[in-house]
Amino acid sequence: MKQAKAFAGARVQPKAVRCITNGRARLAVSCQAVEPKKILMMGGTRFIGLYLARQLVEAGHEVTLYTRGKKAITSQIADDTDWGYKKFASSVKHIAGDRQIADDTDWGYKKFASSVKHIAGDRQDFDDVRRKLSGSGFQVVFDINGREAVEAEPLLDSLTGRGGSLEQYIYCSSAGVYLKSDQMPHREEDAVDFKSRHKGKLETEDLLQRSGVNYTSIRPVYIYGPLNYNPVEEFFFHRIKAGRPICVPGSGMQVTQLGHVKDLADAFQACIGNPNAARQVFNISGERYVTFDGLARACAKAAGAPEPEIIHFNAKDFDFGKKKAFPMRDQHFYASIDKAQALLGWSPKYGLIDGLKDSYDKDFGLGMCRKPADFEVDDMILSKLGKRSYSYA
Amino acid sequence: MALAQLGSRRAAGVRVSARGHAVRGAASRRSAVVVRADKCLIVNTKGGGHAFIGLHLAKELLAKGHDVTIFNDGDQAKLSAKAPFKEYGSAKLSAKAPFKEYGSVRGLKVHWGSPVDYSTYPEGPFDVVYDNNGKDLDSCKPLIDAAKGMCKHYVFVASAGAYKANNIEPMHFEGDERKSSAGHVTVEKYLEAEGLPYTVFQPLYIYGPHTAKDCEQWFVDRIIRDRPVPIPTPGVQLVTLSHVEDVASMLAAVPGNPAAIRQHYNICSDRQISFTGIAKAVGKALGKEPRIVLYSPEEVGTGKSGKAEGFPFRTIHFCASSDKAKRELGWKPKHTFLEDVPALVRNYTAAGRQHKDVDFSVDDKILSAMRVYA
Repeated sequence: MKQAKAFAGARVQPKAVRCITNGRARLAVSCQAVEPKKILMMGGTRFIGLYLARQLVEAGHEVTLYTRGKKAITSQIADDTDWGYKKFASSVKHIAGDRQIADDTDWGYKKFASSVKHIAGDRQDFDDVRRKLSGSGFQVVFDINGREAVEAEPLLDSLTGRGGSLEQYIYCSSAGVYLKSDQMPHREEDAVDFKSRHKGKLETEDLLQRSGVNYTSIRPVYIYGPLNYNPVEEFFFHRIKAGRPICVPGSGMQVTQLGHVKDLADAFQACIGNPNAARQVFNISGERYVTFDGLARACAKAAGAPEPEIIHFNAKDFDFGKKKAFPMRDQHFYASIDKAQALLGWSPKYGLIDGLKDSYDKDFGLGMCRKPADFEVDDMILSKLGKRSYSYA
Repeated sequence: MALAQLGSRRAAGVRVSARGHAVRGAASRRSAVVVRADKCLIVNTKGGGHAFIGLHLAKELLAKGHDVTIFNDGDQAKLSAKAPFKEYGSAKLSAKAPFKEYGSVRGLKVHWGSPVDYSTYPEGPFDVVYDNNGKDLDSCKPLIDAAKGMCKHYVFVASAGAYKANNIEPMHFEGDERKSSAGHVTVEKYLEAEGLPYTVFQPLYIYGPHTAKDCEQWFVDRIIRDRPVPIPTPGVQLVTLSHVEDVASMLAAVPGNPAAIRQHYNICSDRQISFTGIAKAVGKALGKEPRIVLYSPEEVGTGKSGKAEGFPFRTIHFCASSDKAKRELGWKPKHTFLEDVPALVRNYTAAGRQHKDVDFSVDDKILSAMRVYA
């Protein structure tokens, strides 16, 4: 059940509703009105923001993207009118469910493109940010691309304080902040690692907390979906398409977790006007965890390909230079989402395989990718392990 | 009002007037809502990992003001014919953990007999029946037939071991596919067919006070004696270990909860830990660096297909989600294994187990195959 897309601009907010399906009570979403907000989105043209901005506009909010303007402010996403996709969507009809119909059409895209606003600027120019945002009246900030605490400061300075309009600051952090642990999953109350490469996110969360602003921090795990610029599923799809084995480090039993970008966008949206989100941190990802080997199998299923050959290698035996041999950190890495499910009235709609299928059908499977296939690392591994080399089909 | 009921209402926190009526203050209103003192029967197994569930469940139910009888399987005639059990009549069994603790639980009624022999059954009727004994239809059917039409709620303590391993998503959720061979599944079908108001619980490995089966102790045995710890490779396998009190609190949430009827729930901690993680945690509690030796049970010849002789757990990921119970039963675990390790190690040493003989013959076989010297 996707939120209703009203003709005049629905002002709807996903809300927790229990429904019984297959004898299991599940949190579903129903629609409830939330008053429209003036929303500022930092970033928003690359991946998460694309989907979130769209949803916010559809829900009747006024959305302004603050970007340098290097990428097109609005670009059609895979769900939008692509002649081929439109044809596909109309022939598929209701088979995939409500989600398919609610996805973009020409009409939806045109409406979005004309509704969304833009502030062109470099957020690293802190004084410029203050100038541009003072008195702007933004009520909600979605900080999608902030990496360091200093980047959040000018936003807080210009939007809070006496006469400030800011009601909520919603920050995209990362589950990468958690300290590595033998006991899993990562829960929101667990220890964080101030030495990790995500320490900027931790420092931002800390700043937000100390500032007293009504903030929410969202910690996603691995995000996937159509237009993913991080080669998560793309890594597997390239190899599956080429009929190559998939080289997995270690035992392949490492457990991780993927979250669909649309589910992440829903979670962000569920924070607006939600008192349960105030000053809280939430892990957001898919409901089920997956092993490395399992992910290879799941991607093959999503691509409609046979079960892939999986070859395990010991990463310590190789020097790949700057190249990454595998898209995931070599450890267990997954987080519990039950806090968000209980408090935000949110639950992921995509299971792993149908989510990967969505990504495949609307992106890689249509012949698109962010990075071209590069099997240099694979060939190094295969030759060292004495496996036969592959040539392109 | 009978003295016993009065006492149990006081125990449940209900303020009572001189004539035994509940005094309606805000606090007693909360507890008064819960208490409808049910007569609970816990049919309990005589050994294995589930043996101590009855004890802890009884304590939880008594604390809620219910009337509790444990009907423990301990068939003297059957047992006494077999060596070494010929010494273990119910008298001997009741001298072992967890059964020896029964005497210390105030208000608990204990009855020994055989759940497949009606002549040994305690006097009913009972509102809530817990079957923490049978694993297949033969051992469960007599109790089900007797309880049908009598009880308001029938609780079957089954096992998450019935889930089929999934080679993509390792976590088990209620409703996931189960092994066709699982005896528990046949029992559940019978409960369904006979129309009992049932709830099925699926526990995983359980640890805690008064257990009849070792769990983390296997690791302590080795680390405290400075022996290598042979762990089936790769050692990153995740296992859910749950404290028996958390298991008991979920089971005790059932009486008076009609929403739980005809539902399945996994009972387990909301955390998992890897095999090497357990060794490291135990080592840390003992102030020792564990010597972990990873080996392949198949190559060494001590096991295959998820089993390893001498190792306390199945060798693949074994974990389940208890989110459904959190949502529907308002249950929350109080323990995590990592937080409990220091206390578990203290219990081990307090019982003097480091001085007892342990059979390390399988370890030695593995270590010599791996050319490691203890």
